[in-house]
Amino acid sequence: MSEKILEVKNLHVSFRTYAGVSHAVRGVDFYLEKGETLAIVGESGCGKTVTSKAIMGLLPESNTIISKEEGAQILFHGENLLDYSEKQMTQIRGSKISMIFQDPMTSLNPTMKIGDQIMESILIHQNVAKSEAEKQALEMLELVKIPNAKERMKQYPFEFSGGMRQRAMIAVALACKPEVLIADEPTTALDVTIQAQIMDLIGELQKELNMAVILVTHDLGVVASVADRIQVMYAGKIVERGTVDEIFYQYSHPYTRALLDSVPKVHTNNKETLYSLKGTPPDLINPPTGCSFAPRCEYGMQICRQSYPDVTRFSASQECSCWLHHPKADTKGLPESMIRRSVD
Amino acid sequence: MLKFIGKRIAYAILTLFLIATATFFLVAGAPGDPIAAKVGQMPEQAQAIIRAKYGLDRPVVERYFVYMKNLLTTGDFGESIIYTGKSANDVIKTNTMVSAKIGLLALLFQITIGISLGLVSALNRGKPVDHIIRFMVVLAICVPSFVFASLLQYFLAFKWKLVPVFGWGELKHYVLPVAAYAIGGIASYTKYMRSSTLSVISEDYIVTAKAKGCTKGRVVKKHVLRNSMIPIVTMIGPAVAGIFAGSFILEKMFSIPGLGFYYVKAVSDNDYTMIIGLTIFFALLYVGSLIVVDILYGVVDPRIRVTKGKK
Amino acid sequence: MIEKQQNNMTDLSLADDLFERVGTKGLSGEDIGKKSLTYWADVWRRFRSNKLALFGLILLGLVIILLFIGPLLSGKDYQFIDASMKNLLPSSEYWFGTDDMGRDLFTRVCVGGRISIYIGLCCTLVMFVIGALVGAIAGLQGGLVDDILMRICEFIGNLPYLIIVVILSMVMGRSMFSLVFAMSLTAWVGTARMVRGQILQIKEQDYVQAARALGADTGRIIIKHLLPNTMGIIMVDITMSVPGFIFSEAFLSYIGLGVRPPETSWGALASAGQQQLMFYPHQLFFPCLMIILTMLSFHLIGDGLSDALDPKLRQ
Repeated sequence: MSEKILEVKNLHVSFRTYAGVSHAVRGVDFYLEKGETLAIVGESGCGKTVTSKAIMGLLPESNTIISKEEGAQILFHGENLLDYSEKQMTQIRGSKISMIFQDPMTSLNPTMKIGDQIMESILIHQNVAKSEAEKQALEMLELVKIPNAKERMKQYPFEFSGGMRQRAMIAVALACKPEVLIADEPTTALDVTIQAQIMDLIGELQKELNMAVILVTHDLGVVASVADRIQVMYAGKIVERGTVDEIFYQYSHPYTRALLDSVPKVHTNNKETLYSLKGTPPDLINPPTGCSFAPRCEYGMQICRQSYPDVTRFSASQECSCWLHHPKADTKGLPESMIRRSVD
Repeated sequence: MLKFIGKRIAYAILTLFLIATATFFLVAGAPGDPIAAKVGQMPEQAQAIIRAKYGLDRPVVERYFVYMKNLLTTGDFGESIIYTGKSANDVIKTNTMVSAKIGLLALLFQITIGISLGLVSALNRGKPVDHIIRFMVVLAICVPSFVFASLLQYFLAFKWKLVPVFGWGELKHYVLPVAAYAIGGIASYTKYMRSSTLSVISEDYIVTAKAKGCTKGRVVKKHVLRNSMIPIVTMIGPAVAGIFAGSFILEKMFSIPGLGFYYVKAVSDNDYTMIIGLTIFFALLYVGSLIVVDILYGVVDPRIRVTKGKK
Repeated sequence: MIEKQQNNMTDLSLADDLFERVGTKGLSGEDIGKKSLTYWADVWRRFRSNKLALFGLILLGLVIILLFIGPLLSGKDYQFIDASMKNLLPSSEYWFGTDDMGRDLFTRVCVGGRISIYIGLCCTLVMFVIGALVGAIAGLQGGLVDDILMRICEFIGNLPYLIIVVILSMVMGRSMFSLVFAMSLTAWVGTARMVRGQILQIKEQDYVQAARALGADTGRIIIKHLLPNTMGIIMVDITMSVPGFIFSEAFLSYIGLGVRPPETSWGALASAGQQQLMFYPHQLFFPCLMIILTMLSFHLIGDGLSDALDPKLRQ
């Protein structure tokens, strides 16, 4: 097993809002190995983005509560980033850990030339002359396959198309060749044809720079070809995790199943209607006791609404939190593949 | 870009022409007889001679053409009816700079102080500094400038005798009018800068800048400032233009020999040639500054520069 | 995940009936979702929770009540001249003192305030009606009509406001009508541009497109979609305009172009008070205090409204 470069332990994040304290992330643990791609999948509002911003230390200070007392840790090469000062964090951001965002239309500074935006992180983190930074930025722009890179350096974001902007955004993020790239819904705002190109580009650059990637998305379809491992989040908790094959073919949580069913498949019968999950994720200001998915789960049991299920492990890589895997559970009508037993 | 500027200037000329025409006919057709007011006690014949001298005996349309011809060929804004021998051009020549100095000085304070306070307030949102600044802004916006002027005059000049009550010529004479003029503007620039900065700091590209590893100071300097100043620049345009029109009261209160002072005087004297001349000149300054600012706006915001240039 | 001492998944002592399947019974999708308030109820809730805005509303109410019952309370006539009572300081007889002609300042401030507020409201009404109408026509019609109307707006917007007001007041003579006309002549341009901008923006939004595709006619779209969505921004504009006009009136009265005596307004009173500043500062103080209180209340209400209407500006 290769080195774990990033480890998140027992992360709780809450926000003070005018309606009360919203518990966005409620006890999340995971790790990231060198060079691998980890996908975090879930509906919007399930805590994916909050988790990734917590790693970057980008959550607004004024109204965010990260529970360090309860033992929350974000370990990067064994050092807890939550103990870092703001100054130390600025040295990590952009050079060791980078992030790209959902909407390339709004995530580039409209009044700054593309070249300057790429050069900025080089100038911050590397002690190089401006001409050297410019050279590196140009290489970066060529690396993300932007034609006429030299001219493009002098242009402003509004002169770029959406796909081009996301490429530029990737160039900005990767300018200092970081060890970890967090891609937060990098393709959601793009056209379908561009989506595949951007995902391929991220994959290629990952190999070239030997980066680890955390891919945050709500779209399991995007994940299939690029991710090594997947973890499924619901209402601020990880409900299931496993390798890509395990999640796609041996899923064990009803929520994972619901997500998979709502992806259109090539071989979907014309007469079949596409599955749609009813209801919306729960209110995180007063999260329900028990499993938060229970109210929307067709297999829900009494106990689901009373207490939260602990983890059941099915293999070295796959685990799940669901009462359906309790020996006493009512498994009537469950798909065969979901009836699994713990390896412990 | 050149085409854009050209179009803008052509449009401004049309605007000016319409203003000049409208002003002429409105004022020339206004009730009240300036000659009667000035030399009403003279015999009717003598009045008629004076009327003829100013061309008042001819129809309005004819006077209009004569006036426009003089204005366009020799830049003659007209001669005062009330004060013989004094022309609008004299007033413009000697008094424009007085108004401009006070106005520009006040504007400079307004913009620099307003932008800084707005930025400080937004970056410290919800903290005591923010509350104090916001409170002062509301207070300053709610108090008319002539009230400020009166207060300053009463305390600084009358009670404490720190500066002269009014008068003109030395540096100390600038203090009261500039301060009274600047306060309201500082408040509104602070207000706009604050809300503009707040909306900029919630933009995605600010998160990107932080994610790059920019320190707080660098984020503000390189990413927040320029973007949040764009809406402020649009405000500066009318403000520069308004410098000359906005100082009426203060010039009158502090007896400052500026354009506004003479304009108000001309209005109360019913000195119609003077009114027409000064109005056209005001309009010229106003429309001219709007164009300058439009061009400046293009320099600050590349989006406008390029799209307008392409058109 | 952290290994717990006791994993409840292997706890066989749990009662059997806990594992009875209930599915999604008793909880429909709507119940699961968050409770939602209607838009205006939400705006009102946010406005109410803003103490300053509420204070502004109450302050404005008090000022208006005072303006109307004030003269009844003092029992004096605002035009009554008493030459033996000139320039008195505030007392139990004359609450705000008297002016240089021996008139009761308190009564004059109340009556003048009515005129000031009346002018403010009239101008705002004219501005709003013309502005909204022109803006709506331009926005909804588009094409040539829009082009022409916007050109006119641009022209009027380029006129130096103050000079137009001065010239018009001069030309039309000093009357309430000319004052309102002159002040609202240039002011409606801003409203027209704003309404047009809003309409163009909303027109492009999916739900209006959808309504149109479903066959809703223009009238219905205006009433059901455009009006509620533009109302917010217009309301903020209105609350901010009233004090602006009161200010302008004060300004015009100050340079002698405002209401004509014996009628009076806050601006006229302040102007008169300013002449007496060195010796009787109270004559300037009281009218100014009323102007400031009124401005303050409108601003607090306007700020509260725009905050309440813009959820983005709130945390």
